Amino acid sequence: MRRDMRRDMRPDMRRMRRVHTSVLAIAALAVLIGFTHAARADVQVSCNVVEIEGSSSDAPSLDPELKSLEKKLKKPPFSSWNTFKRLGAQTVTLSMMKAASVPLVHGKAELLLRDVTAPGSKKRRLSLGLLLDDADGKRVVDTKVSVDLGDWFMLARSMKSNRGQVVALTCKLL
Amino acid sequence: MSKVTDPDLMMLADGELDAADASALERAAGANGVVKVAAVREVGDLVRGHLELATDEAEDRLAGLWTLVERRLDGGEVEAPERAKSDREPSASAGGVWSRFLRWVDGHRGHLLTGALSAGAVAALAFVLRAEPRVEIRTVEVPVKGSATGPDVGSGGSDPIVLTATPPSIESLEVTGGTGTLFTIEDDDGGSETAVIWVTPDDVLEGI
Amino acid sequence: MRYNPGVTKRAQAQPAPARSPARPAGDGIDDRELVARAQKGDRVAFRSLFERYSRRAYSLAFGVVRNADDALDVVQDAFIKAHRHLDKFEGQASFYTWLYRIVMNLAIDHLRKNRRQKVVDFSEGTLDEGGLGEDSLIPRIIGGNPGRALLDREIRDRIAAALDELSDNHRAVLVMRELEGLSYEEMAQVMGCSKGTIMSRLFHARRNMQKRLVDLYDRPANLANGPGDQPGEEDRRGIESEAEDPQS
Repeated sequence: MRRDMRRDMRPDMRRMRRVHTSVLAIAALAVLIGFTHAARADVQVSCNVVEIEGSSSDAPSLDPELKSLEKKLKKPPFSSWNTFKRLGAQTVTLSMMKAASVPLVHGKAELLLRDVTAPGSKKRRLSLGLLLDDADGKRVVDTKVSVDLGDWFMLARSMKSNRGQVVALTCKLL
Repeated sequence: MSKVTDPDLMMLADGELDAADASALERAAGANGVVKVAAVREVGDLVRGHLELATDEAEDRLAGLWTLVERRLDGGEVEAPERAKSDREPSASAGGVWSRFLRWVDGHRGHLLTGALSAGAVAALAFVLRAEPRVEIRTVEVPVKGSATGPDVGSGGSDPIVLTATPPSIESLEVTGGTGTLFTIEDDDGGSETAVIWVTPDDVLEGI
Repeated sequence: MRYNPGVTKRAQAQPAPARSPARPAGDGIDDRELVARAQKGDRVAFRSLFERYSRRAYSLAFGVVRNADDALDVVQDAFIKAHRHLDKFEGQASFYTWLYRIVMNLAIDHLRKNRRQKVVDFSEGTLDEGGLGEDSLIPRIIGGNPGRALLDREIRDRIAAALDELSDNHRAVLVMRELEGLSYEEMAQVMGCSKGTIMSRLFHARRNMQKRLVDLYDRPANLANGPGDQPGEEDRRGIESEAEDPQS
């Protein structure tokens, strides 16, 4: 009798297990999706902001302090220049929705941490606001970008005499 | 006169020398030097001729170009050419989360664990369900943690799960007095991409 | 075919001859006058400038970007930009000088946006006084009438392919030099680099063109010249010469 009952119950149990798994998956999915949109007010990131001047010259060169960016600077769109000089580097701490000003040789940048998504997962994603002004105080760029923590993001602009300014930044969680 | 170099001969061919230097160089150039000067000029003639012929071939289209210029001057929009859709662009069709998930599963069945979903795989799928940004899917070998009930998942074994790396994306971009162009530089190891916003000011000309 | 060797002669100390398209009947108006009218909003005047220089702008753009559709886009964008900034044109240089700088900037920008594989070489330098070792000009010419040479489809395709294979910077200076007859100093100003860099790029561009066309130099003269044409004295010397230049 018990054996018969177990035999009869097996298809039902498999179905129940499948339903249970699906429900679990959906629930887990819903929780994670919720997490991906949550911004934690206490999150802070530290961003390394590097200002670079690009140009073409008789003696192509790369500032030794830019070695970590060499591969990127050799590729388009930077490949029209052959000389790269690091003008400065700063570390800026960003708190949620608090703008930080970064003075540059060729102007000024302003950074705003707008969101940090997927805080529980391996790869977190930042939503950043970036403003760039030139040396005359004129607004050049206003942008909002999403980038993974640790990845580089760059803003570049042409200036006169075939020179250019590159503002490169990468952030990590504090 | 000192030794005649190829750059000297090039300058002679291009008329960059004053009359006295040019005469002295012609005398000192020798037979091969004279031929080299002729060769430089011949390359120029061939390049010019080629470009003239190419422009002849575009004559009809050039004739119609003013219409497009005028339309833009009048503030009209010129239709941009249709761009080929990326294979990775997420489907824009309507549908709930679940139906999009099922469509994604159908498209990437080979990359998924068969059987039950592990916590790691569910996290990866959560990234995919977002309409933005474009998602790169890589299959890697990592140990599976947590319970799993599917027949293909062994306990303590190393099974492939799907991990995602997400390229950078631009949510908005305003450029004052110029054009902004987005580039992505793929790193050599293929692990990440760097986004570059390149701004070209409208007025890059110096006063002439 | 409109190729006319008499017009496309090499530029020497003088700037390249103006190759303006036919002007509308009765239009003998100076560029300065047209610009002044266009600055006041006269569309007909601006159209006249377009008709005068669009062909030349196209040749320049096509030489750099190497694609007809893209070259047309560059020309269109250049005239739009010129119209937008007409108020900034101060008249110290000719309108076409101002326009071709816009065309060059846009063409180079276009290449920047579209080339994905090009990698810069930090070792690119300038010509030095000591010469270039093995990288010297080939003392050979195809000979005969370049116009006739271009009638040969294979030669035309070879020249096109050779131009395509040049680096963007090399091609840009070669096209500027050969189409516009700019001096080294003028090109240095346009490209924002030194005269030495311009000379280096121009030299390498020509040397690389020669390398890619080297087998054409070995052809018998009558293939390039066509029946009935005789190579000139200079041509015969080039055809018969075999040794590399020992540098006198």
